[in-house]
Amino acid sequence: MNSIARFRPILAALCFFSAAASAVAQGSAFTYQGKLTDGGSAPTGAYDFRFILYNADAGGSQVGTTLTADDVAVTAGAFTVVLDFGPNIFDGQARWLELAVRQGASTGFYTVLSPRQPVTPAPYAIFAAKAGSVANGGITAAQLAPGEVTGAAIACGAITADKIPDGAISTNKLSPAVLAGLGGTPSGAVLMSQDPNATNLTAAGYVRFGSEVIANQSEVILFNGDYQPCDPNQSFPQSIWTGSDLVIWGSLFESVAYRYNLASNRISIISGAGAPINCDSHTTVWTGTEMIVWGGRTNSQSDLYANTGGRYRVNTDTWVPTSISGAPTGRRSATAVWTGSEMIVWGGYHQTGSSLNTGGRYNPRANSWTPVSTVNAPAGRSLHAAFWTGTQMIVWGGDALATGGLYNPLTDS
Amino acid sequence: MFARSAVWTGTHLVVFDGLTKRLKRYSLSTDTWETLPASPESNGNALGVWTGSSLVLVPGASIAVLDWNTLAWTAKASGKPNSFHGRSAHWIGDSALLFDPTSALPLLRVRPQNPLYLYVKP
Repeated sequence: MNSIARFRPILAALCFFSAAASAVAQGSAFTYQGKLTDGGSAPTGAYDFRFILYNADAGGSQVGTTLTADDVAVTAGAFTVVLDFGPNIFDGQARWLELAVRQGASTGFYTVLSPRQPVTPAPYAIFAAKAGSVANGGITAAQLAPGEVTGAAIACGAITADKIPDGAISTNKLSPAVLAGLGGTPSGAVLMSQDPNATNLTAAGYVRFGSEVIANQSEVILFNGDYQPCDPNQSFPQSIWTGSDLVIWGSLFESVAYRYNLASNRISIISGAGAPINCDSHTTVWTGTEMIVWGGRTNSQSDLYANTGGRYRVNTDTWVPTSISGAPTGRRSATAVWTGSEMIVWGGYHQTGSSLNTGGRYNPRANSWTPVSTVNAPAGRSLHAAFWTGTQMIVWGGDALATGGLYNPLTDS
Repeated sequence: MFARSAVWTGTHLVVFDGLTKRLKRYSLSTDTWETLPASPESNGNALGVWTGSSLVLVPGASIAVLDWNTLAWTAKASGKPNSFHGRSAHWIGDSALLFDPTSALPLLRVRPQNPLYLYVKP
């Protein structure tokens, strides 16, 4: 058979059709159309075709398998075949297709047509070819659909700490062992727990050992500021806690008046202007804004007991004297409680040598005194205990007494 | 019983004698007295503070804490300097602030702490 074949440059169009087909069903087959001339004429009849891919336009090596198509109908030279060299043949490398043909009734040799035809890409095949040559970093987040990247697509160890925003890992994402601070702890690691039976630790492989550990429970405060200690042979000042400050006042022979501020860790000397006369064994209450001191011993040599006092305003560092009009008789070692609106002074030791069962209520707003009823009052006493319960003053003990009483200021009883 | 010191818990008056280690509490609502377990240490100068949930006795050689729910004492070494003699104690929220007017460093902060237990990973 004398045959020549001219393959028009329609391969691209064929490939175009192939691409359209593959959009319906993914595959590697494509349609090939050609036009065969035989002796200068366009024949009609059955022909056998053989297709071989090479990696060069001449010589080179065969790529893939040899395909044959027998008894292909050729009409006026035109024929159509479907070729499938498999999925991995067209990998972007240059390919040339060699055709050979023989008449359909023949079983002899094929006539090889030359030249080999370069396999050129169809437009969408060009587009598809880009998939094999995506530049590094060419795939942006916009190309990824939400939720499409699965765990299997992430390499082990690929997620580093800098990929995780600060504070993004919540505790419910951590195992109990990690929460217990045990994650990755090596053999020999030691932990301390307040729980003598810490099951979370033992469950994580820890065992308890040794004896209890006690942290230092006392700390001498090394404050800023000056403080002059009292003579241990003299009487001692009293202190009240305001919620932020320790206010220290009262000594028989010394002018001891300090204020320690916890936040600043500083001791400072408070104002002495308008303060009551030096005394000890006085009463002290904190009202929430003022420290009220009252009574006490003013001179140990002659045992003078005061019925005077003063209100120290912490915010302004100033003193205001308490009224002496209607004040209880002077005394020392009495007690006082703050009710929220009044200071109740009760009991104490009188300079005549007897303990008292009298008292008075001081209203700082009115700067006035009201006597406390003595009806059914407990026996006189000093150095006793007294507290405000919220509605009543409870008094107990003192002077070796094991008795007490309750006083209600609303009913004065 | 001669009470050398007393505290108010909000519902009870607690009186204690540091020398005899005896304690009693008085219930205002029931008007009754109840003897409490004796404190672990004898100290006539013991000061008491109420923390809101327990009674703390300081500042002897030990800090003794009486749990109000179990009425059980826990006593641990205080670490207090021997030269410090507290004359007053105030509970300041997380610790007791003790005042010794005769000391050049008159303030001692005492934090009653639970013991810690050691665990090792073999």
